Amino acid sequence: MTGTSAHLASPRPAAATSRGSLLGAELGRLRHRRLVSALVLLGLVALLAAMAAVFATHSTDVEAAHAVARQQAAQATAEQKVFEQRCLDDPSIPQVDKDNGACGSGTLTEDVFFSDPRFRADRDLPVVAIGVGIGGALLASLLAATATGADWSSRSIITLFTWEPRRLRLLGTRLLAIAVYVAAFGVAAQALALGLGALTVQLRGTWQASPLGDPQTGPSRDGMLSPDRFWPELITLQARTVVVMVLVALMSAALATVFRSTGGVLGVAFGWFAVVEIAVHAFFSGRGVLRYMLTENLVAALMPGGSTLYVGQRVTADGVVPNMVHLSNWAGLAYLGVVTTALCALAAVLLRRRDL
Amino acid sequence: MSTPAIEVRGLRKTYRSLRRPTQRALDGLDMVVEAGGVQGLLGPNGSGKTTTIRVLLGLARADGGEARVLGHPVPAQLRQVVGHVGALVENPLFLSGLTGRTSLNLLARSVGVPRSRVEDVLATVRLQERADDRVKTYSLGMRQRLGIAAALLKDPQLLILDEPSNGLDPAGMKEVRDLVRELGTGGRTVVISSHLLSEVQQVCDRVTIMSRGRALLSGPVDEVLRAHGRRGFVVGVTDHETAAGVLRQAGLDVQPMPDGRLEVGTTGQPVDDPATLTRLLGEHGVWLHHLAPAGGDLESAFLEITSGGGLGEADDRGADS
Repeated sequence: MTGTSAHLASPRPAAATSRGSLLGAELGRLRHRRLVSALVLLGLVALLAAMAAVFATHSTDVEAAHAVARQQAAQATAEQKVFEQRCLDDPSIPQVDKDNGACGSGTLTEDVFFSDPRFRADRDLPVVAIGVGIGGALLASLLAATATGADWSSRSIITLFTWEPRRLRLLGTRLLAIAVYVAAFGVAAQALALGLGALTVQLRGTWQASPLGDPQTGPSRDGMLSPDRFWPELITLQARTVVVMVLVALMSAALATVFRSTGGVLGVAFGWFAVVEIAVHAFFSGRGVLRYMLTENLVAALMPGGSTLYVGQRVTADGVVPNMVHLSNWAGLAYLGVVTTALCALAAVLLRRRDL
Repeated sequence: MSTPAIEVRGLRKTYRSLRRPTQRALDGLDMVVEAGGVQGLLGPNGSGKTTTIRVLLGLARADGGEARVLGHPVPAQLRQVVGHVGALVENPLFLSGLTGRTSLNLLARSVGVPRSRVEDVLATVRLQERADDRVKTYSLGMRQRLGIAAALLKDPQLLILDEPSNGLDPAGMKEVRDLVRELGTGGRTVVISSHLLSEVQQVCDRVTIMSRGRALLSGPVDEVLRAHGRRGFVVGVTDHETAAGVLRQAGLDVQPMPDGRLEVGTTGQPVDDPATLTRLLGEHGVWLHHLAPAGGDLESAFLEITSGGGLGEADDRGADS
């Protein structure tokens, strides 16, 4: 019999695996999982359906929309006049009130009823990007939770650790694989959404900047992209949504590692979003705690220009003034990044310490 | 002298949990597994077999003692040797939605084993025809074979199989035993844990008998049987009934065998000298046409070594599951 030392010297597969091959195997595991494929397919079908609905509900026939608005305005004005006359004839209403316009007056213009039927690039493409981001983040969290949780519930993680005993290396590679997979999915989804959105703008909308004071966009341009930096801002917004998807997926994967199950992630997600955040909104919104809610930071990370939170009020010489906190895009992303890092660190510590 | 495949000195492991009582799974275990051949870890459920394997593979952390695999201390240097160690822990664990071939391909990819090796091990465990079916459609025996295939992918010098016959039907058990026997040739060391005495007796060259987290005895199966196993005799006679009556009257246990012969003294009072049997039967006019020693059995050896604590009596302090 050959000695063991001699066996070790023989050319056999080394224990130390190259990150590339381990990463490839982890990506392969994701790619071959049916549930993961089903979730990706579901996401793409939902995106196509939503864009088809968007396409079907917009048109370039502005004149027809104006005509409808004129008709609605005329009808409303006529109804208003009938009401006004009845009001004026009603002896129970004091003359003083009638003189102060309690019965209403004047005619309604078509501007009040006009709704631009066109798909406006600066107003609607960001909405599409954010929608894809939110939907994608939900899918990414499910994907990461099931991909990680399944290994624990099937105990196939044991098999993996008999191949790669360095637990942190395996966890790191797994998280990297999930990040790469989700990022690829996010980029593909945003590219598809942008392509379909651009097609909708071209066929059923306009690339022109929305005018200030547009009744549909309001007097400000909140949530809209600057006309002079349209493309950079849109691409940046899409990139932010992809980063959010990746961060949410990593949070889910880390939680699934902590709880060693998919169900644990779903339970924590429900507890946090349906209980903690709602309770904070209901009882502590005035104390600045909102700034630390995941939802608020997600909104801040995604909305063009970030978001502004109402966190209570203060009394000044001019009266009661609301306290507002502005969360920029980067502040929102940074907070999500910190939470993700903390959860991954917790997962790493527990994975390293606990018996399998 | 070659390096032992496994060396364990004073290994201790206690499981502590808020929800369950503290369980001492290993209580100063000492064990040496020499390189080559098939070594059995025999003991009742809860004796510490699976915990020993888990500690050796870095899946559980020992509280004390030391363990070496292929000469390297584990878990400190496990990564240096894990490429030479194949393992099947508990039931084979794979994602049920993947096919057998995909499961093996992904494992092979993670350590750079060529795909051709996957086909080799599928052939070894005779799973080629079902390799493209999903694991969830496999029988328990097929999953077991897939698990062994995965353990073989690295062409390991040390193969550790934890209860490989668990849950298998008799045909499946025989298949796995034949496979293990085959794998234990050619310089490879196979360590197989089992609570099935017959399995260890049939498959293993050496055995370590464990109880309550300790090794009670270790050595070649033959030597263990010689030293501790009850040996009786097989007797061939024409008049079975008279012979059985005479022998029973003399206080000996008699078991009729399917071929009509009698097994005498394998249980109960031992037969020290075969001449006792010939004299007894001859005095009653019963003449022997066959007399041979019966094979020793590990069950009696185990019972003697554990002072009657049989395999059915699981140690309630143990943690194997």
